[in-house]
Amino acid sequence: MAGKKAETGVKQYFFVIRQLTLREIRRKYARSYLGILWSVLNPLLSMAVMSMIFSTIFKRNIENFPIYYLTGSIFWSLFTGATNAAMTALVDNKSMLVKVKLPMEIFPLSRCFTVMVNFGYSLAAYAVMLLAFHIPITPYMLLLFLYAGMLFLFSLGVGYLLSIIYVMFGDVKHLYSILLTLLMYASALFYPVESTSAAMQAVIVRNPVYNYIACARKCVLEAALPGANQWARLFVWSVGMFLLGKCYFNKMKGRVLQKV
Amino acid sequence: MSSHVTEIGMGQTRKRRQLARLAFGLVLGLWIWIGRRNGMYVMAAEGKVYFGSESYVWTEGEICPLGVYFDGNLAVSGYWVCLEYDSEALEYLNGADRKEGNLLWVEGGGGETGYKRMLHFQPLAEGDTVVRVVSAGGTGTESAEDGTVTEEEFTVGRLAQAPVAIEGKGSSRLAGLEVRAKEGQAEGVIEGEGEELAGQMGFSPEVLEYHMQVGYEAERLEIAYETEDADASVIVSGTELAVGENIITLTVQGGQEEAVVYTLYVERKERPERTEKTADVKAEGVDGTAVAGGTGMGQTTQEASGDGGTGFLEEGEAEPAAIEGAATGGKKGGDGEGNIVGRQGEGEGFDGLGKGEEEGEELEPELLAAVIAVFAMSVWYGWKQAKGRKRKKKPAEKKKRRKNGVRKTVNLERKAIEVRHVTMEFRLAQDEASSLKEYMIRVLKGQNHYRMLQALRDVSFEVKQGEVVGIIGTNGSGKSTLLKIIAGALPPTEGEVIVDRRKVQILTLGTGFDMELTARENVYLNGAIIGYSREFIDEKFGEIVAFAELEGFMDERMKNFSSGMVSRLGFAIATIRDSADILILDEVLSVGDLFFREKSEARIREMIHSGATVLMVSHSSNVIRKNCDTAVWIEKGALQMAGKPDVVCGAYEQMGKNGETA
Repeated sequence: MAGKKAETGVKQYFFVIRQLTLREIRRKYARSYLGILWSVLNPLLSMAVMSMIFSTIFKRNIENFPIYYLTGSIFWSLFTGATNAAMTALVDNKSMLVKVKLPMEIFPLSRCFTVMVNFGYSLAAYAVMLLAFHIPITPYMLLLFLYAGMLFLFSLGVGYLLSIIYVMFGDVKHLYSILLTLLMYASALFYPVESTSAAMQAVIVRNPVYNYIACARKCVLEAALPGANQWARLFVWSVGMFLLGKCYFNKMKGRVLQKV
Repeated sequence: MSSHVTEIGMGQTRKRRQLARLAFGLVLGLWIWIGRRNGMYVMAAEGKVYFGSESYVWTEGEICPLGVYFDGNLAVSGYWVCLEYDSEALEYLNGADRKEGNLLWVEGGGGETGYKRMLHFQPLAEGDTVVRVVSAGGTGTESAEDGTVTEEEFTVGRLAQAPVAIEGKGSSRLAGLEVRAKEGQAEGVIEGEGEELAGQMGFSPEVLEYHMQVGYEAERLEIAYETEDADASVIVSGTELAVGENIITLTVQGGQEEAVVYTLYVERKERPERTEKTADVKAEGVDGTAVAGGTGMGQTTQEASGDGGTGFLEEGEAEPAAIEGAATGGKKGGDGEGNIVGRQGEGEGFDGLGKGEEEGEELEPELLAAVIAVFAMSVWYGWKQAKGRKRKKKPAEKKKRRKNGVRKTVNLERKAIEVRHVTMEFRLAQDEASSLKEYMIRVLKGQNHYRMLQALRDVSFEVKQGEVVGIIGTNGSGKSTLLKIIAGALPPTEGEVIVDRRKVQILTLGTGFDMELTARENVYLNGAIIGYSREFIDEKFGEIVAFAELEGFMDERMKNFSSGMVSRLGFAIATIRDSADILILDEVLSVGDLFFREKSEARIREMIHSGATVLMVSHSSNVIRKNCDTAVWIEKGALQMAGKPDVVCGAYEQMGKNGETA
């Protein structure tokens, strides 16, 4: 009896997340004629433009530079998109928070899922780009999903933290955007890590987001697995950050209701 | 004779003047005629020497014609022209009759008035030079009517000279070529032993094909070149290297000469096997370069191997094998510099894209510790969650048991909700820090004072099962806070509320409606939020639409709805479910137009009287009077009165009046 109830509870939980996620997605393209088609078209077109730019203007001595950039870019936008969206989730939905008996973490979670769905669309566009640049398709590329999942977990953890902090201090939004800029330049999105100094490399490698990007590049461009250290970093950052965020969220959520 | 004419001419009349003119003409003609007949030259025989053009622009290496013209004012029976040219700038090819040093003679004649001779030169060097006529002469002949032929030497006035500008021929050759595998990509090793390589890679402008081999890591070549002709353009077909053989062409386009194509056959090695670590290490860091210049190519530079050694030492992986590898790498570099690039940070394992890091690397101790810590944390968290779930279950069961117990003793007086000494305090910062900076300053100064706002103060009451209880009070008295606490949305600061939360249902209208979505999408969204399952919504969808009277509008965007339509839909969704055991209504009884209001009130009444326990909030005493069995009046967070609606509402209204009069 209790088990069945828990099962329906979980089912309901995902139904709500699904609906909230659908809302965000539908809403994004609600005013356009092409509607949902944009979610594939948009990344496809912007990737085409970016690869054009990065294969002509910002030429670098990197093999398949556009793909090098795009791989980093989609993972980076997954991270920024998820954390930024999760940050404001509680505040944006405050009317729902007080009125409805929903577990509070559902809001940041559904925001992150939304970004994840968009990431899925981007992946479709990315696949087109891979074909266009004659990148051999290997089974290693399945790892992309694993990395994305781990990055999702990491982003969710950060998102949980941020959503609570954002309730307490609206300023976090601005601070975070600055922090993101810093992180972006330390993520080696459009330059090879080897081109930087040793000290800088130490910083970059300690940047959690870079690890995911590096692994993704590795499996796409080199068809290789990351080393043990890399695996350790991926695991520590994703699970560690998720737990940290989740615990903090649970600890603080009582106070959130008083605050919003 | 002439005096006679003059006399007449000097005479009178017009006729005479005409005559004078005629006579003058005659005299003149006669004088000339006589003069000529006697072999006297009235006009000198003049010759003219000139070139076809005032100046010339010739191109180095080409055969260039120079036209020499000799014209006379008499028939030229013979002429000669002596030309001078700069034999260092021009090479005389043909056209003249005689050549002496840098003097050329052109001779000829035969009675024509003009002669033309073409001389050919080949310019030798870029620059300016001059071709000039040093001397010229000739004889002109004239046959008189009587058959006498007079001959006269021509005098040549101006001696022509023409400046010649010689342009470079525009070489399409390279003077030097240097090809190296990209620095930092390592392993661009040129295949072959030193001498062999020197033969292959030693650049010579005449050799058009070169073969080289680079390592897998060399993703592109760096090509530096120098052309013989500064203006020549070079088109490099590409510098990127694919694995396998690559053909790179350098097309050199000079000014006049045909383009010359140099071809590099570059073989990029296959990806090295990951397992062969030592082989990898050997190759790594050796940035092979093949340098070839127009001069001194093919010389082995010994520094190469020396460089290799230090490069590896810097890398911190200086095993003897590695040094050996570097040394051979250097040798392999052959005539080029075996340029070693130590890969920074490699030894520390920082490099995410690092090559050769993957296999057999040692896990860093800090990372290992972190992994263990995180793992422990997740186990602990999972355990806590599981325990929490158990704990949650337990009280519920306990409550049930207790309730059962209660039921046994006081069967009819079952309590649905028990509010016990509930106090709710909100901590409000005195003047809330509006920014993080301000907050930090306050924390540092210890100035973070809070004001405690007591929303509820020691409120206790009970709601029996099936009872309809109305909570009344002015705005801000704490009614909604109380409802939230009962619903479990807010934990109270003190006291407790005993209620089976699973049975509690708050009726909220249109929570989470998104105006950009269609009505259909909103039904599912709102339904999900208030706890309906998908199957339930699917089943009840028609009913919802019918009740909201929105048939035909469901695929319309909500933003196009009137506010009445929106609230009708919200109401329909919220009330479609089977009535819960405990229903909480927060000001929901005024929805839509008059007709819908009747319908909605009927529905609410239906829900209220279905045997559910109802807790409703309103600041209108009429609503309370009409629907409730009991009324609870809360004012400024404290329970003022509880009892029969008429009594409580009367007191509430009295207070309102007092407040107004006061």
